[in-house]
Amino acid sequence: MTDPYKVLGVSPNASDDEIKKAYRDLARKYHPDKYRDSDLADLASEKMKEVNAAYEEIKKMREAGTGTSSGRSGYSGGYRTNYGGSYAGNTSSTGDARYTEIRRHINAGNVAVAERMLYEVAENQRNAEWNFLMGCVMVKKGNFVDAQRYFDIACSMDPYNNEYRAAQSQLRNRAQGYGGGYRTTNSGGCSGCDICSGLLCADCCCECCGGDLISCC
Amino acid sequence: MFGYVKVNSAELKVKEYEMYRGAYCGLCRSMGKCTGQCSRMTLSYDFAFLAALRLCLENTEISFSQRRCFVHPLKKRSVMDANPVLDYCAHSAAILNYHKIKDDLADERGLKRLRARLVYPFVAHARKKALTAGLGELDGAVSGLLALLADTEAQGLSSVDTPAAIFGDILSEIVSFGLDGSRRLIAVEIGRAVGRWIYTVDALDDMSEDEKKGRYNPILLLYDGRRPKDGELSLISDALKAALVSAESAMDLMDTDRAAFRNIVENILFLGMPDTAERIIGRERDKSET
Repeated sequence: MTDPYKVLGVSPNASDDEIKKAYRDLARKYHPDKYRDSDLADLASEKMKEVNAAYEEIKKMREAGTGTSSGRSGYSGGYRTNYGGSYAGNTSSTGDARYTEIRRHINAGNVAVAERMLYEVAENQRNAEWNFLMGCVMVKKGNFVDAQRYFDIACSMDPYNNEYRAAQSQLRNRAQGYGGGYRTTNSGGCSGCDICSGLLCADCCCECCGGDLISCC
Repeated sequence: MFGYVKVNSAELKVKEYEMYRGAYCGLCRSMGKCTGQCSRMTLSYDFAFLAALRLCLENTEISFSQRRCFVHPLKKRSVMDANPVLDYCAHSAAILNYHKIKDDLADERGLKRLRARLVYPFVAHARKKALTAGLGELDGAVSGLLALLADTEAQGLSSVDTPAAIFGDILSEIVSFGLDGSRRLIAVEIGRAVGRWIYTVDALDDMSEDEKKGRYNPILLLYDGRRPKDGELSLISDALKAALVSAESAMDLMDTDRAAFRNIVENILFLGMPDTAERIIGRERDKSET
């Protein structure tokens, strides 16, 4: 059995709060919603199980150690983020049986089947929902340029449809969340050249007023 | 080959930067040793990324020593000693270069074709060495996918994602070759994301030149042969970021004992690559304004 403290990446004398924080961070990291469209889903859920088990074990150990049942300060079950559910709902918004079936395939992960069925729809019948579902297929395939274009078309054909709008903005948000907190600096800052030229300017100013900052020039 | 996948050195620790440079120099030496001195000229930062990633995923012993080389004869540098990971990167670089030059021979005209003809014997020699080193399977997979990519490009689809996905598969073959279990899954995911990103950025970078010369460019085709306007560029830049989100999730699942190389890889994925994309998109924005 691996050391549960190691699994959470904390020291055995960490406080309860530190442990809870470490657990939440890891739970967010391995959250199944993040891996919904990915081959790594199984791996992530395995990690999640490990983390959950380690957290439970530490809690049990600490409760036994202190001998108090000091009210398990409510942290229950899986972590929820508002990463959003699946793009496509289960029933067609226009009541078209064909689209309902395609939606079922998309949500079951049969992307290839859904894509083939969508291409079978005659070109003059391709309405907003067709474009929306095509966008969903493209998201699953990781084709984000195509997906955004289909969602944009769907939204322009049917501007008042909340489902299409939600998908459109959810995809945009995916890009915005990238590199979470990694980017620390952006502007160029002050280079060596800037410092020297700044000093020279200061020297000139001083000399104008009769003083001198850099005595040799 | 492309050189878009670089570190943001300002955000790396000095010791990590030294290790990255050491891996780069070590890869250069490995290329000289494994695939011939001439192949060292084809070294690019993309393969330094491949080396850093594979060093995270494999438990090869690594060591550094102080050496001089003919490119940097004045100062001794810290260079990673030869190891199986560097040798693999050298061999896979030879395979990719060989197929690229073969493509150039078939497609290009004029100076580029002449250049391809001149270097062909060298890259063919390098590839042969890679094949004898046991990379025949990788060579087969790469050449099959490149043929598929050429077919897809010839169809002239108005989609940049379709060919980009194929290029992603090529890179994922290279990144994941010889790995198994969860490491393979992680490598495949990162390879796919980075490959897609490289293909799209390359298309963006070549857009203006391709427009002038009337050559194939998937992004031009997306907008009926013209360059995308300012607002349309953000579609591409969002898609570039979105493609890397899956690489980020895959990195979250990676267990590695090499914290330094993990930081290097994350620096490249989260800072270096977005920097490159921003630079190219910024340049295209300026062009579209004038």
